[in-house]
Amino acid sequence: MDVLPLTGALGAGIRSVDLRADDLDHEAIHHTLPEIDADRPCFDPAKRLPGPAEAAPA
Amino acid sequence: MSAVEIRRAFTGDELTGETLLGECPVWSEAEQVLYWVDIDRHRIHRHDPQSGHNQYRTLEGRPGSIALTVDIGRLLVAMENQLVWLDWFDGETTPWIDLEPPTTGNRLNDGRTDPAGRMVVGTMWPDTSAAKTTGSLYQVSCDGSVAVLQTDIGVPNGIAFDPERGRMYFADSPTRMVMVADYDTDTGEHRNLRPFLDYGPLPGKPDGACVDADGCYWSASIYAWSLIRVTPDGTIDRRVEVPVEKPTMPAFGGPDLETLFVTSIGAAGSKPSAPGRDGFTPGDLMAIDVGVQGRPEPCFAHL
Repeated sequence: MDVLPLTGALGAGIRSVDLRADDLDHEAIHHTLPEIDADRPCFDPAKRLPGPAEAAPA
Repeated sequence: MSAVEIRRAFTGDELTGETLLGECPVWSEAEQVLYWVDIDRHRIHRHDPQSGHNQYRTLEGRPGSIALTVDIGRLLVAMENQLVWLDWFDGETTPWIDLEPPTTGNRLNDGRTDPAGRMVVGTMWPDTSAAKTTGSLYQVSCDGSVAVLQTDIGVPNGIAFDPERGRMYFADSPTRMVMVADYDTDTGEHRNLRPFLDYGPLPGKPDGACVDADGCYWSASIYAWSLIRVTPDGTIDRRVEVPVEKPTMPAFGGPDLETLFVTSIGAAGSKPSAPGRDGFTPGDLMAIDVGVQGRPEPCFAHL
């Protein structure tokens, strides 16, 4: 295990492209949100595993 | 079209070696530092933007993700197949829970702390070129109990929470789909898993993510030199280009949570990274002023 101090803020940075909503090609990136499925749980409580305290032998 | 400033917060050198697989930036409000991991170098890094000071610690295994705790310098680390505690200051690790037997061959990957202090973290087959779906998504509570939220996962990524809307986001990167579920912070139950964003027509794949103070989802578009911001109704409203091909995960940090830190992949993986642009190197930790505020990262609540 090691820890190494390094130093230095590195450079002043660059300017980069920031496309906002008006610039984006919404046709190209169009996607549809499917209908929400039925109100089904996606977590099966039966699959819950015991914590260390519960799993420890009595 | 406007512009953003991108700074390099950390780059590897002859002393440290280049970053191989940067992931999981997490801002500690208490310490005002950013923790992040280099999975393939078995390292956890600590970046202080005020001083520019960087440190790292090397672990016994690959850290996929980390969670803050209420104790300064104490991290919960998802490493290989288990969760371990790391004391940053003395570097000692203490095993806590095996989420899977080591014999599965999986390793832990993306993880986040939910608003109530549970850790949600996924496993994956380490060699992504094998296209296996042996991974699962786990929810670990403070008492050490573990719920299996999902199985048959390829590469778990994009986990993020929106407490105001009661949502959890998740992406299995190879599916190129970001999913959203209703998430009950009180009980930890999540329901109505459904598509949120289809990367189908978009470049790249969804990697790591975070949610800003407006409830918008920032997704690192790996292989696409960019991040996208998606509003809660699923509309992409910004695309920020970055000077590396493989950005992996964003997180807000800085004194006002207004700096977006982004990790990236260097030499790791089966596909070599393209050279960076404008003097940046694949694997660099970037700091971007996007003019948006983030949310504080919750701490894992350990009894």
